[in-house]
Amino acid sequence: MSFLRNGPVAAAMLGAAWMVTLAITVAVGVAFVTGEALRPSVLWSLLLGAMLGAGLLFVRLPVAVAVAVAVVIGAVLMVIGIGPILAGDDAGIAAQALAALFLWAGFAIAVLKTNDGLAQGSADRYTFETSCIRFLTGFGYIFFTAIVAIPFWVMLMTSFKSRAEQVANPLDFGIDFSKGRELFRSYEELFTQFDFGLYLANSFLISVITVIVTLLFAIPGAYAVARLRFSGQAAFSRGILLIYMVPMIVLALPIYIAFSVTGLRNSIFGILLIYPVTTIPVALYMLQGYFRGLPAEVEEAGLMDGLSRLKVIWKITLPLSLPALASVSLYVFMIAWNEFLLAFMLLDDPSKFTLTRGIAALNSSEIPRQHLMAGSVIATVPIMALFLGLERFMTKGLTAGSVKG
Amino acid sequence: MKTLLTTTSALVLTASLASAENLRFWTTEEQPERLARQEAMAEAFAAATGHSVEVIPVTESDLGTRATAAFAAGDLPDVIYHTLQYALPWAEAGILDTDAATDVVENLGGDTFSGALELAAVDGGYASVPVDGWTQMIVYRKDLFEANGLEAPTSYDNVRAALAALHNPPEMYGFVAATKVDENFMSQVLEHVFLANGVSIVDGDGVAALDEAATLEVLDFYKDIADASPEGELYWDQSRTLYFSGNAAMIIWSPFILDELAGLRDSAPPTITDDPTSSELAGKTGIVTTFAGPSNPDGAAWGDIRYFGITSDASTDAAMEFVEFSMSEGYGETLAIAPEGKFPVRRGNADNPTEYTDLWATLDVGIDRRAPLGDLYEASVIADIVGGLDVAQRWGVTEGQLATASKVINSQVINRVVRQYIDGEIEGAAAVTALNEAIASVQ
Amino acid sequence: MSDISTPPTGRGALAKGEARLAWGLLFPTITIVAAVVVLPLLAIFWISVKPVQLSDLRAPELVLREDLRRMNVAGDEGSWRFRLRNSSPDRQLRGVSFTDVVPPGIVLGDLPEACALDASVLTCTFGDVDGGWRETLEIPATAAADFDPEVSVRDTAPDTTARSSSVLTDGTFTLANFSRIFDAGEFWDVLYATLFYTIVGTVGAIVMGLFAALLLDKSFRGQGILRGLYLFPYVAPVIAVAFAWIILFDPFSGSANALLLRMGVAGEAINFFGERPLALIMVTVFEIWRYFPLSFLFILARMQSIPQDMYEAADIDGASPFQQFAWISLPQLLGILSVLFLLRFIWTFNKFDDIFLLTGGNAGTRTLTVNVYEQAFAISNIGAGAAVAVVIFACLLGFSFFFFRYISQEEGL
Repeated sequence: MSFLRNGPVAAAMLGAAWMVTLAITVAVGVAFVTGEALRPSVLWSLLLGAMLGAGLLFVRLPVAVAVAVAVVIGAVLMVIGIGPILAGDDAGIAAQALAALFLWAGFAIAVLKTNDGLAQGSADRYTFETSCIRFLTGFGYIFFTAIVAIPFWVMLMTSFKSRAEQVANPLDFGIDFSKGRELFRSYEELFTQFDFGLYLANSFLISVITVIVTLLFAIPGAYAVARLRFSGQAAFSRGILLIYMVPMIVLALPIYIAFSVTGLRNSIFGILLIYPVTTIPVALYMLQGYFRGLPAEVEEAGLMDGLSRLKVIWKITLPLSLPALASVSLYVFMIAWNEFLLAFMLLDDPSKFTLTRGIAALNSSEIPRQHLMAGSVIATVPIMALFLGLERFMTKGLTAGSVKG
Repeated sequence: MKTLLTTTSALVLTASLASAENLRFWTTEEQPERLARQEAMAEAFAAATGHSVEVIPVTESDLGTRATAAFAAGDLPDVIYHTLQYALPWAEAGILDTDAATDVVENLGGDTFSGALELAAVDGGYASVPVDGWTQMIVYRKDLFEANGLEAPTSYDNVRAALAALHNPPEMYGFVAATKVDENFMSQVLEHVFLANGVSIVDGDGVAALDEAATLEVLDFYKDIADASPEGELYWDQSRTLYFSGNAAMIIWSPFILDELAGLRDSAPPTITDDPTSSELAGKTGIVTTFAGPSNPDGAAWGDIRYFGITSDASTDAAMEFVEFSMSEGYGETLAIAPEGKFPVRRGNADNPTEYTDLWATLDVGIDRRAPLGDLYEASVIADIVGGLDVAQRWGVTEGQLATASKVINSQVINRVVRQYIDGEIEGAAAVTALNEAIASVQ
Repeated sequence: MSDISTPPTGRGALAKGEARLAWGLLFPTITIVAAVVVLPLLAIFWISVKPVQLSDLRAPELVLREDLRRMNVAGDEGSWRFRLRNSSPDRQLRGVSFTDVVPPGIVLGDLPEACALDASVLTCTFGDVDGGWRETLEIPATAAADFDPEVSVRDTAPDTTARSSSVLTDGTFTLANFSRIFDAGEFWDVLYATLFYTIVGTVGAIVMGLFAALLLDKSFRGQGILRGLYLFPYVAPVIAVAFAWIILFDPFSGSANALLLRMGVAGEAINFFGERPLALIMVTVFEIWRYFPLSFLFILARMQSIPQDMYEAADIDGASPFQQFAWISLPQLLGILSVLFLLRFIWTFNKFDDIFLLTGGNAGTRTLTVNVYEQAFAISNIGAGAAVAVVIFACLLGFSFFFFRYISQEEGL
């Protein structure tokens, strides 16, 4: 351990780690943007990263100069044909240059920042760990951003590419703007031929009604559990949680049969009957937690003034709970919007499809993958927009309700 | 008393005429343009009879599950458009009303149908009403075969010779075999290859033990073409894409490929040249329907028939009217959904015995651009693929065990074992044993 | 509310009123939840001990079709045909018979053995018939002078009688469903897949969430944006992200494979969702990817409530960053981590959609929940499907017991 804490050793180690991280990141990033094949070389990365990491500890350079020097080294290595990123068989010069620029400039900045504070001699534990944490932080940002963004990026870009283009080069996610309207062909077809406008409306309507019905049931229930004393309260409260943990697939079979027999299958009304039941327990659970946190004194004052319990709920408790109601509504909306299993099993008729059911129908037949991804984008964008617009409420809702998966 | 009875009956009759039924029709032709055609036909039917028809698309791979579940729930549609593999199992399970189907065939005239009618014969009638059919084809690059002096891929040996000469990945894969076990496509291709070598999973008494030597020939052949295919879970999609991009020498496909191959459909264009509307690839393509293995020099073709099945929950009379309408006035519209893959099983009517075959020949194929098949392919090629339907075989048809064979196929056990063999997980003899056990266990 | 000093008498009345109000408020919820959750659960328990295939849910019925053949005008000699069958291929119908009114203008010839004519009412009896039974009766008939071709025999529907017992309601019980699911070698595969998926998925999501929370537990510009971005996998519809993963990892035209091939990491395309044991690892990775945001959110909220001065004091004492994490953050987070573990464990155990969409349960990824669908719908053996559901429910009760016993009072859940 103490050997590792030696300044140059630590600097070399962190330099090597940075170089490997950046080489992979840049190679993948450039490949995804240009479609060119670049190959990160772990061996070269370790070697050069360690040398330069330690080197920068001895030759203290200002950031700007270090970047310039690093870029020049990168350019020279590129011309020789060695380095942390090697060109694949058919990689163009532009892509290589771009990769080299990002890699070396990024490396210089990252290493200088990380190793700030490390000295030539042995470093104390605090400085050493601070440097390590700086690397881990940088690595973490790159890692998490990449893993989260890449699938969504693929989803979006695939929706613009025809099957032929995709097969020709699966890596090429550039957009050919010269195609103009043709680019949005999938979206156009989904809305004109596949009725996605209707599915969007159905999903929206179903989600909103689910939210309203859920609140109508959950508010009185939650209030009763949180505020009123009655025997069986504790058991009830646990019962809610227990019911809330029964997997839907277990219930799906009897529900399928019961709905078929009663003619509720394949109807939006049937869906509206079942969705709130899946959300009422979670809403009840979230709201009772919130109601418990409200000061009881305000309500008692209301009761003293001669208001009935129901009036108290309506006039005092609800106005105080508006933020919580917003969170619960958003959370329930999200569950209803994203629900797949019940829609898949209960709806057959395209004129009644929700978005998720519509996407499932795109998966199977001879329909191009492009359409499938365009459908996914259409389903994802509204919920994302809602989420980003009302993030504060949404985050609260997620935290309070996330006993549900 | 008599008068009274007559009056009541007459009243009932008028009432039944006035009561327009609302029929539900499940179809596996779920692409929007095909759906639109079926809806148009349904509207024509509604205008003619007053019964409305709701056209409900069902994904083909879900059809079996969905029908069983709907049967259990007493919620079957009135009419189902289904393939041969379901005809007899469903008749046996009580899903189909075979009496109604038999009556429809009688009303239309059994002699106006081609021989394919007998494929779904049950005791005392027919399980379902046959509508259209197609034969599976080996689609190959005639230009490359000629350039290399190869014979057309009509037998195992010819295909192997072509693989040896042409397989050069990743520029050129010798074959694109089906390897995705849960796709119907793999079942179809495998059955074709088994039939080619004369191997059947059934005999007159039900499931039969496979002939080990002949089965090993089939397995080895399938392993050879799978080895000459790209990695991954392959089914019709990759086969077509690779052939269209000029990276495959041979594939097995249905005639539905014929319009796309000629550049008539933008969502699946040939990409071998820069012009996705070119029919150049069609000109370089040869087609084989009858295929032979070493143990069966005569070879065999594989055909599929699609049916209108009237279910046991149907409003029977209206459903029969609908099927009869779709097989006469509306037949042209039914075939026009995709004429390249829907050869008429009903040839004509009482007035003109070739009414519908003549009509079919004039129908345009294609989606984004349209042309009659005759403009795109030589007459001999078309005659070859259409003629295949009359000699096409399926497991269990000649043995009278189609229901059993269909059950085995639908369970996909054969696909799984063959996949294990081509992946090298089991040896040849073990694979035959596993196949026999798997087949015997499906009852 | 804690009004302990209220005299007992008055309190009784008040409490009663309060309890009544509480039940009144809860009544709608209790009713609907009972109808949609409790009843189906009971049904599942019942079905699990019954030898039921999906198609058995429908009781066998007698199906009858009648028509007149070769009779168009008065004087025609034809027949009145009845076709009867038992709708079930394997189950018995008892006491099968029907009666029908002979239409005017039709004179019947010799009656078959099973039938008798009384005035103008035809009665045919068949007794008990087996599954798959079919019978065609052709009764010779002549059209009399008053025969009216417009009148169809179908205008008067025959009365049919047939008794059948439904497997669902009769007294046959069996443990075959359970022995079937436990005996089959695949049960252990299924259990292994479930446990691997659940344990690795849960731990993975929590570890990743902890890492992400540590990253964002400081304020800097763009922190809000990143926090929003990191929640995307959880917020997006599962069907959309599952298909995006399938396309990304497609062995044939997927970018991930193209990248690995071009980088020279892999020699040939990898079938991520189609090969054992890779498919199981991939669905678990997907689970981690999709649910790390949840752990992250929980942990971040808890972290931000740790008093800052604890760290300041540690700084002064010269504790290094890792020491601070190990000695200050971790103990504070232990409570929330264990709650998260149990909750996520239960939910991952229950997860169905993700695997169903990604692999359909193929290639060794069939978990217990996917097995319910597989047994009940794909194989149509709902008895076995229900038995698997019962096993799931039993596990769930076990987990819940732990949850309430050890966790809930601690974190006030």
